[in-house]
Amino acid sequence: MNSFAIILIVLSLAVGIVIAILGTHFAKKKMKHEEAYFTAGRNISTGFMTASFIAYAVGTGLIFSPGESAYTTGVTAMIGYALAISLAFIVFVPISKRIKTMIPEGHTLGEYTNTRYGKFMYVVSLAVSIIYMFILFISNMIGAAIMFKYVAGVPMLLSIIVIGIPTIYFASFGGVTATIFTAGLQSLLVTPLLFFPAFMCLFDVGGISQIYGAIEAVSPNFLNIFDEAGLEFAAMIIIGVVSAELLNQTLWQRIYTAKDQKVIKKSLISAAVMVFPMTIVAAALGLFAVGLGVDVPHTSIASGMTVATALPEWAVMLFCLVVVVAASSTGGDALSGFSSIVSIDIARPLKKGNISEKNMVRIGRIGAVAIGIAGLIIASFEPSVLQTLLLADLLASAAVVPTITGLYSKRISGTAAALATIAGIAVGLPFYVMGESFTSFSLALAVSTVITIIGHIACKKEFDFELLKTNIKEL
Amino acid sequence: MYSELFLTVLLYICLFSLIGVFAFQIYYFIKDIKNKTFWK
Repeated sequence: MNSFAIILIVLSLAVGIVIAILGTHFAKKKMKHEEAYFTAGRNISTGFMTASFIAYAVGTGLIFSPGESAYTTGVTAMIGYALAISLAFIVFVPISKRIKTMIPEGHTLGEYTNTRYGKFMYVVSLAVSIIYMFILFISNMIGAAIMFKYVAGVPMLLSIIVIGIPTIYFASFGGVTATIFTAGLQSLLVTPLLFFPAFMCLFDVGGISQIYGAIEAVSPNFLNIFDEAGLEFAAMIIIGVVSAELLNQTLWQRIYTAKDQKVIKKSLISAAVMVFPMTIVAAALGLFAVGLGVDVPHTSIASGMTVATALPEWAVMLFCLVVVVAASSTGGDALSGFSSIVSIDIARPLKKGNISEKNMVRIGRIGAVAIGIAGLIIASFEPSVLQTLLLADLLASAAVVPTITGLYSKRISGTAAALATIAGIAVGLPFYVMGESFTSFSLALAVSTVITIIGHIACKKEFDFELLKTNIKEL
Repeated sequence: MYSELFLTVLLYICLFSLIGVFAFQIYYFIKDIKNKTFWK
């Protein structure tokens, strides 16, 4: 390894350790009761809530995937990606209100599906949640490690360990309290660290007219508003990302940690407005790679390669630190969400509720550490960040309508919801494997929606929504 | 086709609005610290 790689590793480790220590120290002080491990005392206000939504969105999913889509598909895909990330928060506003009103003492998505739908749908939604959280974690580790590998020649495994271990530490030991606190710090770091390399890049390459001219010469279809591939990608990513966020345990958990609905609404809208420009800026770096003819060894890091090619080493270092902070924040969110799933959705029902709060926290920690280590191993095989996230989004596209409908319809049964989800996945998966992501997402959503509607019409028995309040209680 | 002007305006607005984003983050952060809601 050269000196740049060594400094990068040392700085990344330092940033990771400082954030992890501060996060866990804060969580320790705050955790007067075990419930706080899962809900942070249910009194988070707008500042930290907004920061936590931003930090969640600004994972490598935002730093790399929009850049990858702009690099491979063009401007329409880039704008589509930014819209998708913002829209997900906007769509979540009314649904979050419903969740907070109907399940004021909840912790997880699984609690809701178990009470509302029963065992069948509970198992299906649990499987979707676990796979999603797992993919979210590994995609963040992969993105950061690939960047380190191609920019600085750092071995994948070393990068994954350096970024992953502090993340596993604060997420598993501090729970959601630590992840929200660290999200506050991370979101403050990410914005300037993203701004400066992007700003320098834009001016170092000679402004947008240079880039525009070069793209027009090399890939004119990338500038076509109605480019078929770009429109397909935009539609697909909007369906996928919005669906995924509506079923995301991390976001459900945030709703339960908020002081009230006003905080959630204000934070979601603020985050939606703030992440749009952040996504466009990150994606534009991928577009610049096309215009500059940057050598991109792995499409996932098109943005990173632009920075590495156009900027001096210190600016590249800054961008790498954005990646570390982004991967750590979203990875930590995924692990924190996963620890709640393990203890509240799996261990508690298995023990028929006969489990102490201390043991639940212990199990959550073990679960987060285990899944974190498994994730680090899989991430070392370096699959595409975008493709990995798209698989998670496909599963969510199939599950979103059946799951969310249960919050509004008294009539749809658990069997109908589970069958709708399974049918959606079964129809969409072959197209995903064939690389036809738009068809796979659309079919998964359409089939599961049709079956959900049929289920709603056919089912005569009505669910009592009061059960959500009476059966789902604090620990 | 996206015009050069459109891309220029979009990218510059997004880039410089990051300064506004950062200012809001600082503002919210300080407000939360003052309120001590999360620190209790």
